Amino acid sequence: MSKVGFDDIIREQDTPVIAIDQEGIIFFVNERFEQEYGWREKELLGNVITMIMPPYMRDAHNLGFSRFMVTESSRILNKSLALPVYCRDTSIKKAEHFIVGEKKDGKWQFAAMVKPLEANIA
Amino acid sequence: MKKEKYTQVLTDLRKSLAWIDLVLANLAEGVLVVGEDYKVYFANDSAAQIIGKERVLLMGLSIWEVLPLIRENQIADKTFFVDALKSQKSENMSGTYFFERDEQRLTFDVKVRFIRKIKQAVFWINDITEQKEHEEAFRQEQIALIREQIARDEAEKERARLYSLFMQAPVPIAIIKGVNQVYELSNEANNKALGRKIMPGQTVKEVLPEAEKMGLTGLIDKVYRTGETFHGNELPLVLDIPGIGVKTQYVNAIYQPLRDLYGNVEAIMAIGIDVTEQVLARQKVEESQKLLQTIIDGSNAVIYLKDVKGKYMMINSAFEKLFNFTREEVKGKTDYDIFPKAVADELRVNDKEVLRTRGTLHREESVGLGKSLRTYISVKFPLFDTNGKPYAVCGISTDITERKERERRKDNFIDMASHELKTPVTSMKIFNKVIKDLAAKGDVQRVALYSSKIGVQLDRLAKLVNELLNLSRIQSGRLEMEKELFDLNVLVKEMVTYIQISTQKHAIHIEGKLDSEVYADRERIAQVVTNLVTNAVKYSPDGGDVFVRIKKEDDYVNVSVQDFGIGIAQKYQSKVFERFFQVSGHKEKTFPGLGIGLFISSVIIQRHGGEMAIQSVKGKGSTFSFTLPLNTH
Repeated sequence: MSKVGFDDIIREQDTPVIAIDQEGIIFFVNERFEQEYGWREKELLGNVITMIMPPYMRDAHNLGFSRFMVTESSRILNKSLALPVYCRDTSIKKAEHFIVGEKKDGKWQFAAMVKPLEANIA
Repeated sequence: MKKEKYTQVLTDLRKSLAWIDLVLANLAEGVLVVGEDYKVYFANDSAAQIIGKERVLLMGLSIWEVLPLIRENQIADKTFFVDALKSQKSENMSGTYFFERDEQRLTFDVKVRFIRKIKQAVFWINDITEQKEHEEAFRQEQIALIREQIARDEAEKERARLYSLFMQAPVPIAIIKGVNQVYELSNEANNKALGRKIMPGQTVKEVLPEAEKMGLTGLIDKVYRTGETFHGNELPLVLDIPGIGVKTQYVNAIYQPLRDLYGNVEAIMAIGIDVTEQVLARQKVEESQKLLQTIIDGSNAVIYLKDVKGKYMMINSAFEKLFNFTREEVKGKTDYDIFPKAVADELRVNDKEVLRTRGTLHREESVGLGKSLRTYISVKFPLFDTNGKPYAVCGISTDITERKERERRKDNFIDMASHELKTPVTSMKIFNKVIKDLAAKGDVQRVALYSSKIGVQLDRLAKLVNELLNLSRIQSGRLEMEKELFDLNVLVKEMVTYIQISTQKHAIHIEGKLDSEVYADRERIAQVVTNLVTNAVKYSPDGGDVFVRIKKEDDYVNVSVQDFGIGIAQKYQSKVFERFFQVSGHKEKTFPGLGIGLFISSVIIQRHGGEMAIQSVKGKGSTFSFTLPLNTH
């Protein structure tokens, strides 16, 4: 399997996709994501990514994301991870996350395919 | 402008968070942040490693699920945790918990800090499994050391106790080590028994120079080499004890090899039990038994001891000789094993009577021996044990076969003597009546003839009376010798001449001559010569030569009288010099006599210090001889 790039994910239409900048601000979300997790694009764009994370994931995310930005070393990029997604209706769904990160013009941007694995778990 | 400042703040915060995360990631302690919903909000790398899950996957999981800590074999108290979170008082808790992962029990030192404001608790989890294992190992090591020390102390106490036991034991004990036989220990009893103080380090040869001669060093060496225990009973120890001298002791000894951890013999434990008193006591008993056996063996009577079942316990030599059995062969056997049933029955009846009556029984018993039957007068009496119960029958049987035979012969002799005395008396009475009748008729010539016949009968009567007198004197010990020097040649000639007159059928020859005189009772020797020559004539009824030979032999003179008459059977030859003996063949019966002539002759010769002898072949004749010592005056 050839390496999946940021643009490949952004173009994905059948799978829920979301993208953030190096500040952790959401700048892209596809329709499929909206359909799957109940959020509206206008609600997400310009907000922090922790919005779609259950509360217990947010501190860990902040720490990990901050460390990556300093060290540029990650243990979660480019591999599938089963993580929960905080839905619009406050329910939580477990989803297979595949996250990629790329630098464009000296700035990081991250895109994630968030494929639901099961029904709501909370 | 404001946005730039926020961006700057965010950047700074990110930096701070980055290094906080780095610090937390590199902490050896596991750090978990748990919310009031018990869910994990943060886990550092060490915590993830302890729990065994990827860090990112831990978020949101229940603390009870990811870290079921166990304390004192129970899941950590949830209530306590909840209360601690809610409480204003308790901010910290700590303790040692266990966590089981992959079937491995891990030990943690857990500290929990409750942060009330954010209603979260931070767990610091320190894996002290290894430390605990070290501590446990150390503890076990200490316990082992303590145990070892206790064991050493116990062993030392045991050794001291054993040593004390050895030293105070009333039985002589010594430990002898090495091929050089060095004393490692010798207790007081051993020192006392050997009569010397033995110090550890001394060798057996140094302490007991007698040991080699007695074979003790060789014995110890053998036990050393073979590893086999030696048991010896009543070993004699001849010891030269200072101040006492040479003393013999008897010991029951055990030489036990003592082995090291590898099974090699490293020492010998010698134990000796002094049995001198018992041995000496037994020896005394044995000596007494031997003495008793010697005494009863010296008796001509048959002596025996039988148990209540009739089994022989002991017999004497007379028994052995008489019945041709050894005492070993007879022991344990009954009369039924030895004698014919009829004899055994009689003996058993008598034994049973003794046991029944518990008294002494005097009984004449007949016991068959080959073809002959011997007669015994038996005295039987029971022997009683200490409880008064009879356990044996002792019998003393005196062989009276010969005595009975002598009595029979005496009775025969009396009959014969009566007859012999009566015959001349009857003859004389008849001759006397004839003389009276002839005298009345005046037949003087025939009176003289019958008168001489009466004279012959009187001589015969006088001879018989003389023999009876001599017999009486012999029996009462009054046969006296009146010795004198005389010429034996002359005496023999006189006697031969006198006897030759009485027979026409015999020719009596004298051969040989003695050059010197003899010192003896002339009358008695004349009586002996007369007896022998008369017998030669009497027992040669068909007549013939009779030789009387005189011969000097060293310091003796031998006088023999040979005839060629009826002779005497071999079996009677040893009895011809006995009192009242007369051969009992049909031919011999025809010869008159009391059967005491040869007996009287043999007594006379014995009283002179000489001997009588006989050589005879039945049907061919006999030679009777006697010797007299010369130069005895």
